[in-house]
Order: sequence, then structure tokens, then C-alpha cells
Amino acid sequence: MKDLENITKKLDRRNFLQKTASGLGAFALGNLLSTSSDAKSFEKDLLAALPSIAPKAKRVVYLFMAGGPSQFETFDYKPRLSNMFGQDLPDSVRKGQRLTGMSANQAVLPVVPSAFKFNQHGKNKTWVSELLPYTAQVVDELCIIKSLYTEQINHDPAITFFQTGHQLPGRPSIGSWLSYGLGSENQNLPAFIVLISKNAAKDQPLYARLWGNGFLPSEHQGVQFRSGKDPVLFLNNPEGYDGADRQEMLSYLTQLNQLQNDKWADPEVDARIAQYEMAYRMQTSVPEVMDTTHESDEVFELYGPDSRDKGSYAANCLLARKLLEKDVRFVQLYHQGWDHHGGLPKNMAQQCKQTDQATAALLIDLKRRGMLEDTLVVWGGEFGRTVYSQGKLTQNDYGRDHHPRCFSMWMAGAGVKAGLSYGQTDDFSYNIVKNPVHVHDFQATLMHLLGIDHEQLIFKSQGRRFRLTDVSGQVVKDILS
Amino acid sequence: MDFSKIIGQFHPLLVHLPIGILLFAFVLIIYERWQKANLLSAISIALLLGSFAAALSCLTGWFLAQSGDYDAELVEKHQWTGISSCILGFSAYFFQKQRMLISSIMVAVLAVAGHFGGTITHGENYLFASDEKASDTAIISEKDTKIDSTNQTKNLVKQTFLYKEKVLPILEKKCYNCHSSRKKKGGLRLDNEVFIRKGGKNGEILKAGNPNKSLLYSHLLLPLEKEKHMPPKGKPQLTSNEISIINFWIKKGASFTGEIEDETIIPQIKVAEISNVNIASEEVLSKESFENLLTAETKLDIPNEMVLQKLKNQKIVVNLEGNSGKKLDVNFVNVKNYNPTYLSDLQELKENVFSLKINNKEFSDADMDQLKEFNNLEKLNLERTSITDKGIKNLESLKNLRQLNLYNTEVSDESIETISSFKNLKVLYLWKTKISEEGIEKLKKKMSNTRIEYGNFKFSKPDSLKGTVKL
Repeated sequence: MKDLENITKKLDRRNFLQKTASGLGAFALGNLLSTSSDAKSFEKDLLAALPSIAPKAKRVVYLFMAGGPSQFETFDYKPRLSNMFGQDLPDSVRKGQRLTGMSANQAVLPVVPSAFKFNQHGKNKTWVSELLPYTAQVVDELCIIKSLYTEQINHDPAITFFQTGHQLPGRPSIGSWLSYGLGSENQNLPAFIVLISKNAAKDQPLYARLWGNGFLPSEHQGVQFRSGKDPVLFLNNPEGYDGADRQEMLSYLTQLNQLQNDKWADPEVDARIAQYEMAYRMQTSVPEVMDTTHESDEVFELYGPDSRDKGSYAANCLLARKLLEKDVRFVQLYHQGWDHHGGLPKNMAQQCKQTDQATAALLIDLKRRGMLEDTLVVWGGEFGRTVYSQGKLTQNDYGRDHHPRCFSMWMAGAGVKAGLSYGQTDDFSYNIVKNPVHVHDFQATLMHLLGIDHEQLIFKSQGRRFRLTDVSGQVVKDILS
Repeated sequence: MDFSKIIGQFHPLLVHLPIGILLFAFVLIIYERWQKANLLSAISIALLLGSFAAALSCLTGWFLAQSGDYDAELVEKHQWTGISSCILGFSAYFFQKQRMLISSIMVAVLAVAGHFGGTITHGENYLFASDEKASDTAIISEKDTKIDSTNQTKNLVKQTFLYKEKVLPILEKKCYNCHSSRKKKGGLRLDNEVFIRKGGKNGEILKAGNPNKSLLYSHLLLPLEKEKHMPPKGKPQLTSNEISIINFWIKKGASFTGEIEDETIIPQIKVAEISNVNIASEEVLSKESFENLLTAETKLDIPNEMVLQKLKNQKIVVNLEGNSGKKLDVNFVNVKNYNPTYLSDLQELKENVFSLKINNKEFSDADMDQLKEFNNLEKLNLERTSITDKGIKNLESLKNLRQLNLYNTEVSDESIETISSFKNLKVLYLWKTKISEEGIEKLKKKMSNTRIEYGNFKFSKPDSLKGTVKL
């Protein structure tokens, strides 16, 4: 918050007039720019948001299943559908609700049950699909929410909505908000790190703005770690360039930036300085954390065979654990390829196979290291899928269209009730019948677990106060342990 | 108090003037029609006065509504019906020919406005709620007589009603001002069993048997500056005796009819010590040790800025936690090469350190000696350090430990004795230690309240993915 004070000091009216050394026009502008009172109250707002709730979670790992995994083939068991194979979806269920352009013109909407069996697992006899045999073994650690819903029916707005609280691009991502609000305990790694599976079907694109900082200072943006030789691009010294030279160059650059900063007080200059410093520290910290040679065979076995293949989902899960171990605040994984408009059984099985074991392994690995109690693990996509088949329904092939009205996700670890199944959908998993949880409610709950009152963490930009949950969101107290 | 609030407070006084005067004007109009008398000037005066009073009421009412304490929807209805009455009053005054018609409408609108006003102050269904109340008191008085008779026959120790005799007077004196029929701030009324059980906007306020989870009690303990502290700053506060009574009552089950012996000594809660406690109202509080835990914090000194800065320069992360930032959570995650002087610096704040995480390989038994005096440590994480059984012995004095992480250390079966002496330990991490399976079993037996994680989980291999579809 010292930064804000600095800006306030630098940009007071007298200073500004001196600097611009001109007449009334500048004075008027000075009036517009003297943000001192705003900045003060704003700072107060931020402080008020922070210590009010005792934090349960210190870090978060968010396993984002981009594309919208089907709830029918994962967690939302609908046994009654098996008698309705191929029948048209009753109007009493759909109630005229809108469909996407992809299936709205279909003559029939044939109901299709899951092609995969469900079994009960764990102490609480939770139903889990046979596609998730490893997750099923740790189901007692999960708090499964079956009643998520969103307003967005297409990938881009839906995923943007999930990550930033608004369907239009331009707002800060969850991880950026947390970086801004809580900072990071680890000074040598970014507070917000993004890992993308290389072994997923890239059916729907991801964009850097999903982990963008929006209007927050740019040091809070997510930093993507790549799978190749350079996990972070342009981090290494150019060839033939000595480390000491680099350091010297950076220190002079900082001085230059500082001069600029003294003159203009643009927060982006601060961000630039901070990022150069971070990049310099990352020159040693990143290779260190990416190095998995010290991991035992047992660990690789736990995460599955893919885990030796850098950049795969399993390897990313292992890497996420290493980052969390270093107290990185927010690690976001993306695994694409869940958008199964057709050929769902085959694709779904493959997607689950790629992710199931490593996901479960991450939970176990965190648990035995004593980290699950203050690390929040989140698994989920941007929306669910329809009960009816999109396109042609055959005996063992079908597809499912986007369905925003209900879908499943789970949270585990710090501060959430382990072994709970929360919320309920109707027999067609079409509408929610009990305990609906909106995306904003989920976001509010996540913030709450980290000790932040989502209504208080506010950033003023272009004359409006913004927060992650926009103007809604209620903490889902029922799932807090 | 600001000016608008003062003006607003005249609303309840002023509203009765237009009601009375305008109704009187209406009565005069009827009377004039009926008796064919000439009361024109009297009616005009009454209408003008009444309408003027109505205008004043509207104005003060508007100021009062700005406080935001009232149900917005109701206020809006009340506001517009009120303003309509005022306009109709003036219209009746100016349009003498249509007086009968206009004033009839005015009376109807006035009645509706009055009803909404009543609803705002006395709550929804206030017309019928009074019945409930009456029957409530009837039951109580019945019980009263019954007790009297038993007392006469058995001549036992004198009994009193805990709620009626002890709790109710406190509520009456300190809470009714804002939480009763007069006002129901936060949607909460405390003047009747039904309302107390119902709670306010934020849900139930009473959890029988558990005062710390009852907002009715926990909000009394919040720091005075907190917005949620009750009664609000500036209002008469509850005495420690009164707080103790509320605590006792809830603990005993929060019965509205239960009795206690007259001589019962109500255990006193030391309010001075817990008044600083930070309870976010929605937080679940650890049951037994709530008071102890938090008194410990208030006794602490504020951590020395100089030392904090010094630690910061050494890249040691220190998070200030707890309500007053006196509890320290210390993390060595950024420390590359561990140096024993770090801990000696930290020792200056040893009372404040509640949580400590050191994961440096360089940290060894020799350094463990320095941990001895961190008496308040609740969470200790020494995973991946070089400590052995010899070092663990130094921890014996840390009686408050609730969580201990020794994963990936050289600790072996020899430490079982020491480890099992931590009576408050809730979680223990022993994965990748030298402790044998028998050792784990032994520990499990000795520490039945402790969850021991030792990484024994193994996946059972699923045969292969058996879907209905071949992959």
C-alpha cells in the first residue's frame, strides 16, 4: 500500500502544477487527477477486506477442465435415465429454456443416459463414474457440488465469467485478485502461475487474458510456465551475456525507470520495475522448481506414467505440487478437450484417463505432506452438458451440447467439508432442485476461504469500483468445515 | 450524530398530527353534509393545518428513511402513500367543490399510509402478532402459579426463571431500543421468544448450548470498534455480569421457561480480557478453548517493529495474524542458506510466534535447542530438515502444539515417547520418517485424539477402463 501513498504524494495538486508549469487548463486537469481522497478510502477498503475473516486456505490450485466436462459421465448419477434411452426430452423438463444454436433446430432431443457405470465409493457411499477410478478412491476428501450454474452458454463468455466474474474480457482473473489482495509469501516466484496441458485436445482455445490482470497493476497477471526448454520465455540471459553484466544492466535500468516513475508516477512503471526484479530472481528459482530429478520413482508412479512427460496434465499436477510447496499463492492448471458435442463416450474416456489419476494423486501428495489442510484444490469446467444427445444418437455413440443450468465441480482441502455432496439436480440433471450455487457464489466462497470478504476487495478503475463477484455472490456457508 | 438523523427522529412524533387533523377535517366535512351546518372555515383551517403537518411528516420521514434501517420496499410504499395523502389534503383545501370526494380518497390513502408506517415500526402482521404475544404471557403466568404451589408444598430452595428473571431484564434494558416492536434493526426483534428464535436478516442468533456459536452472545464480545459489535459504540454496554448471564443461559440450553435455583452462582466471564477477541460472526469457533485461546493473544506484547524489519531483511516471511496482529506466522520459504542467527533474532519475539515453518536442509539438531522457548507455538513444520530424535527432545516444553509436521526427517521410533507427550496435538505428519509401522501403531494407541498421516495410501489399480465403448 506504500505505492498508493507514493502516488498520492507525487500527484498532489501543487506538485502537478509545478511539473506541468502551465495555466488554468492544467489546474483543471489537476483537479481531476488529485485522487488523494479516493486513494485513501480505497486503501482503507482494501485493508478492511483483508483481515476480517480467519483464512483457512493459504494457497489454491485450480484444475480447470476447459470445454465443459459432462456431469452425466462424472459425478451426477442419474439412474432413471436408463429407461428413457432415445425418448424425446419432455417439455415439462425443458420448460422452453433456450438452447444453443447447435441443437436448437434438432427435430428431437433424445435423452441419453451415461454410457458408463456408476459405483458407490468411500465412507459416504458417493456415486462416482467408472471413468474416474482414481478419483473414486479419494472421494472422501472431496466436497462435490452438483448444483453449479452459470448464465453463459458458450465457451468464451463462460470461461471468462468463471475466471474473472464477468462474461466480457477485461476484468482481472481470480488469481490476479488474490495476488493483488494477499501478495505472495514466496518472493522468488510469481504469486499466480498458469500451467496448460500439452496432451489435451485443443478443441476450444485458451487465451492469455483468462489469467490477465485486467485493470490491476500488471505484476499481478498470471505467469504461464511452458513445458519446453524455457518454462518462462526470455528469462535466460542472452547467449554470451554474463550474469553479472545482466545484473548491472538491470540495476541501471531500474534507476532509469525510477527517474521516469518520479516524474509521472504511473503505477505501470512500478509494475515494470517489480517485474524486472522478479524475472531476475526467477532466473534461479524457476529452474530449481522445474527440476524433477529429485522426485522419487514412487512419486512418478503415484501421478501416473504421463508424469515423466513434461507438460502433460500429470506432470503439471506434480509441478503444481512443487510450486505450492514453495508457497506460490495460486496455481491454475488448464486441461482442454472436454467439449464433446459428438463422440462423447470415446473422448470422455480418454479425457478422464489423462486426468483422473494425477488429480487424485495431487490430493494424496498434498495430504501426506501436510499441505491439504491449508491448500484449496478446485476441479471443474465452465458449464455442464445436456441430457439429450446432440446429433445422431446410436447405441454406443452420442454427443452432448452445452448446458449452463447445472453442472458439477468439486473442491477439496482447506476449509471445505470433506466427503460432502452438495446440491441436487432433477432426474434429468436439467434444472437444480436444491441448493443452487452460482459462479459468483463459488468465487465468493473461494475468497472467503482465503480470508477475504469478496464484497470488500475492490479496485477502482475508470470511475467505477470493481470486484471479482461484480454485484452479487454469497458465500456457500454449508460447505465450509 | 448528524443533522439529518436528528430531523428524521421527529418523524414518529409528527406523523400523528396529520392523521389526527386530517381525519378531524373529514369528520367535519361529513358532519357539515349531514347536519347542513356551515363549517367551511373550520374545515379549511383543519385541512390546511393537516396538510401542512403531512408535508412536514413527509420531509422528516424522508430523512429518517435515509438511515437505511428499514425495509426498503415498505418504506417506498409508505413514502408514496404518505406523499399522496399530503397532496390530496392540499387538493381538498384548494378545490372546495370536490371536497367530499377528495377527502374520502385522502382518508383511504391516509389509512393505507398509516398501516405501512405501522408495519415498518412494528413488523409484518403486527395487527395479529399481538394475539400470539398475549397467549405467550398466558402460558408463562400459568407456569408461574404452578411453581408457586410446588414451592408451597415442598418448601424447597427458591426457584427463579432464568430467562424471565435474569435474561429478559438485560434485553429490555440494553437491546429493546433497536430490536423490538419499536425498531427492528437488522430485521431482528428480541422482545418475544418467537422472534428470538427466528433471528434476524443474517439467520438464527441462538444456538442452544453453544454461546460462542450464538450471534446473540458472540456479537457482544466483538471489539467495540467493529461494526457488528453489540450494543453499538456509544450505546450503554452490557456489564461483564450481564454478559456472563447471557453466556450461562445459552450454555444451559437457552430455555425460555427453565428455572434455576435462586442461589445459583453464574460463572463469570472475564470480559476485559476477551473484549478484544476477533470473531467474524460466521466463523465456527473451536469449542472448548475459545476463551483460553484468545486471552492468550491479548496478553501478548506488540511485536517489535525493529525485529520484524530485521527478519524481513533476512527474507523471513512474518505474517501478522490474529485480531491485533500480535500472533505471528513465520515462514522460512525464501531463506536459501539457513543461518542459526535467524532463530536467535526470532527468539526476541518468541511469545508471539504461533506458527513456524522451516524446511531448510541445513536446519539440524543443533538448532533445535533454540526452539525450546517458543512456548506458544501451535503449528510447527520442520519437514525436510535434518533433525533426528536428539533434536526432537528439545520440543518437550512446547505444550501447546496442535500440529506437527516431521515429514521427510530422520526421526525414528525413539521419539515416540516425546511425540506422544503432546497432549493437544491434533495432526501429526510422519510420512518418510524412520518411524516403523509398529511405531505408528503405538503412537495411534497413545494418541487417540490425533490424526496421524504417514503416507500409507496406495492406489488400487483399476483393471482398465471398462466402458460400454471400446477405446
